[in-house]
Amino acid sequence: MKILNCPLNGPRNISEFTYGGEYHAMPDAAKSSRSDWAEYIFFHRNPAGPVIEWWCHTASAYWFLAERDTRNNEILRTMPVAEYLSEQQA
Amino acid sequence: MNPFTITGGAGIRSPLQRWHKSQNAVFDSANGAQFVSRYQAVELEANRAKNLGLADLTTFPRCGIKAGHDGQYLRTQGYNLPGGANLAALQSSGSLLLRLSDTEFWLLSDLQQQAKVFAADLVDLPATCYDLPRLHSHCWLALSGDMAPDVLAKLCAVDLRCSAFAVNHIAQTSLARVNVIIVRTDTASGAPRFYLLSDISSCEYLWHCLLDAMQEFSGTTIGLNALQQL
Repeated sequence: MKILNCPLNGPRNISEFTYGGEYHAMPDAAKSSRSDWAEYIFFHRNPAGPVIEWWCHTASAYWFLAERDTRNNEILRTMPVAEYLSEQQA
Repeated sequence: MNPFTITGGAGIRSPLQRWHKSQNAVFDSANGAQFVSRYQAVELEANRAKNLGLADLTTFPRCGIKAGHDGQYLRTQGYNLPGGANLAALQSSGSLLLRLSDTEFWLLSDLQQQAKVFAADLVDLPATCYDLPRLHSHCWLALSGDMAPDVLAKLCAVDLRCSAFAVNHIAQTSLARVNVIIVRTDTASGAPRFYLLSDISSCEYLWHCLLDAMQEFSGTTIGLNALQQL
C-alpha cells in the first residue's frame, strides 16, 4: 500500500487521492497570448526527476501540491498551495 | 425563508426506510421527518448497544456553511469554534459543530433535535460566506458501543481506536471504499460513539457493510430511544 501524506488529513492510502497534473504558474490573463494559454492548459514538461504536481484528497475535496520524483515514484513532500506560493515569492 | 431551517412537511424519509420497515421498526417524527424510535424493546436495544449498536440518523437536521477565513463569521455569531480542521466542538445548544477545513463547517443537531441548526440570524450571510445544504446530500449513521472501533478497523485504514482517535476528532477518509466523514463523539456514559456521514447515494451500501462487519461482534440496529439512553 502506498501512503500519501495529505497536508489537511494526514497519511492516507493512495487510493483516496486523485492526480491533478503538473503544477504550472498561471499566466497573467491580461498579458498572455493564446499560445501561452494553450501551453499552460495542454502541455506538460514531463521531466525525469522531481516535479510539483496537483493532488486532491477525494474524501475531503482538498487540493494540495506534492513534489514527486518521476524516476522512482517517491513522494518527496506535500504542502498546501499557499505554502508553496509563499516559498516561491520569498 | 431561512435556508437553514428544516422544512418540507412530513415527507422526509431515510433511503433505508423500506429496510427499517422490513425489520418491524417503530417510527416517530420531528421537524417534518421520520426516524426509527425502536425496533424491539428499548431496554433490550440499549443493553445490546452497550456492546455495539448502529442507528440511522439520516433524517436529523444538519447543514453546512463556508464561513470565510478562519470561520470568522461563525465566531462573530457566538459559535464555539473547533481549534482547527478535522475537529468538532459541542455547542451550548447541544448541537455539534464540525470543522472540515479552515473555512468549511457543518452543524449537526443534538439527538433530541431541539437545537436550531443555524439560527435565523445567520440568514444574511456576508459575501464571503455561503450555505451548504447537507440534509439531502449525506446520510448520517451512528455506530456506538465498546466494539465500535473494532468494527471500523475492519473497514477503514485509519487508526480509529480510542487510544489513537480522541473525542471530537474527525477523519475524512474511506470506509468500505466509500468517502466518509467519521466523527468521534462519545455517549453521555463515556461509551465510544462514531458519527458516519457519507454521500446519500451510498447509504444503503454502507449500512449493509456495517451490518455485515458487526455480525461477529453481535451488534444490533437501534432506534433513537436506545441511542439516547447510552
